Amino acid sequence: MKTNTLVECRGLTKTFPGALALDRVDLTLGRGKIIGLLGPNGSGKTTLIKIMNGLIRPTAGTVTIDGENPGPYTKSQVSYLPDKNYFADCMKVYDLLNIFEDFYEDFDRAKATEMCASLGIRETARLKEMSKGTKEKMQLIMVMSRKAQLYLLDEPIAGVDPAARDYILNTIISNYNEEGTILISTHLISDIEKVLDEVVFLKEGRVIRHEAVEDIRIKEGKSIDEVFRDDFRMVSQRTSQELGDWHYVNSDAGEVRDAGNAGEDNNGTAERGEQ
Amino acid sequence: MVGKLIKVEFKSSFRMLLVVWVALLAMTIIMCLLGSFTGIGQAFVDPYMGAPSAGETIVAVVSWILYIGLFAAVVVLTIAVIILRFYKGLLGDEGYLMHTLPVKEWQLITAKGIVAACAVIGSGIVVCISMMFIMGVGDLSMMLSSIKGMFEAIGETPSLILIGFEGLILMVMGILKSIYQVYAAISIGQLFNRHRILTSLGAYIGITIVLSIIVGAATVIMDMIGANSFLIGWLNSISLITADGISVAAQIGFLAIFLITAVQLVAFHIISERLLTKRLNLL
Repeated sequence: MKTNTLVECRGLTKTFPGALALDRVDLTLGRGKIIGLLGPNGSGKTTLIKIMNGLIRPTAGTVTIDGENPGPYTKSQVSYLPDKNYFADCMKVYDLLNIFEDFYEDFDRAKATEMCASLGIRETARLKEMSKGTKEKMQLIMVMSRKAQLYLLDEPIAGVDPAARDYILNTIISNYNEEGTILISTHLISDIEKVLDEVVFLKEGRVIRHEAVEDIRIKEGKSIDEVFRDDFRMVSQRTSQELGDWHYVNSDAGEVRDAGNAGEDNNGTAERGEQ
Repeated sequence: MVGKLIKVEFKSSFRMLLVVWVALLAMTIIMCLLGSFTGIGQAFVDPYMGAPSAGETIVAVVSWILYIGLFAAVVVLTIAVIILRFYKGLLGDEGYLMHTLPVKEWQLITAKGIVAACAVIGSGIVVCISMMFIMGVGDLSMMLSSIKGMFEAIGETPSLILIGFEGLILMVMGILKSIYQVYAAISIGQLFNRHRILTSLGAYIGITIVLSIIVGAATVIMDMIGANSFLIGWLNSISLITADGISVAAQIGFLAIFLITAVQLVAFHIISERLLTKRLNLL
């Protein structure tokens, strides 16, 4: 029997040599929601999503999806968009369509074909002939053509131009299974906050906030982007227009960290290699 | 599900292999047509044929270089298919797709192993055909008489069919065992966050050393308790008692090798499956 809880993490901890990626994360996600998993680089977003997918194992704690530990059943219910190209370059579009049709019962081939056609992508096209942006759209098409219970989208709008960002967000919003939940990780909050029902703030591997967007707006009278900046106490050492470079302050330790090139961040370079 | 995975794996693995197989066979035929194996080749060693012309020499040398290059490509690509299709396909970026398919880890490993074994067997067949032509078996009459001789031998000793079949099974199992040993080593290597190729290589060497120690220790222990001489005596007595004794003794030998190979094959498969199920560490 279906319960309202779709994802449940209890005491989820993941350590890497010399780093604590997730620190006793307790998190419960319901059904039929669009949830933003928000946090700066290195906050543990990708690690959390990879554990939910069974791609890495937690050091301690548990995660269940629809009541089951990550395994063949949960994988049949989860549609995952990683933060990297995961299709072999030698594949053709119809190879991908065949693989998804063969393995995922909830895959809608007609929808995927239609979306490919709308972008002018031929079924006989090879992935290695596509630009990076087209490959990313291709991945998104495959992922959003499933009628999944849970969509785990890791930095889907990172590293793309504003026009592509709009295409990606529209594709997500107009194609997801409304009975399912989308967990979308990003640090480009202003672009997605209008579509979010809930937000989860992750900081140094800990959940520091999990609230409904509407509650935050009513309670604090601010946008999610502003609340995020407050929570992470981002300070611009010089204006982003001048330099495209910003830093944030760890509010607990008062430590200033280089968050990387803002030109990349604002234009959305993914947290490649984030653990 | 394994069948579907095999289908996916075949497409990815055989694309390049097919190209080099066809190229090697084509080169073999071209060299036969050019007389590189028989005519020009013999001219260097046969004083009565006369010295080859400069043009013939260049053609012979270039075609031999190409042939050896393609031969090496078949060998290298086959090894690469075994290692890279597992390493890149399950532990590289492609692993993000394979490990999020709703299948069990043993199914992924089994599919990879079967396709890799097919690659090895396919390359073996291509190399054998090519070698037959090189060694002059390209002569059709000689080939036919060899096949005729083989059937005559089988007619005289029908048990050869069984022995041949068992040999084939042992060969396939041996290939699979070697492939799964590589998989087990790579699965151990992926536990580390850095220097995964080096640690996988170390694991492979380690497994080989451990196996040698186990075999050595078993031999010494069996020798100490007199089991070796007992077994040899027993096999000798069997081969002398019955009319078909040698065949029975051979069957016992086959069974022993089969069991030893099967135990290793299963052990390597279990090591890989357990590590990928319980300790997958996809970076």
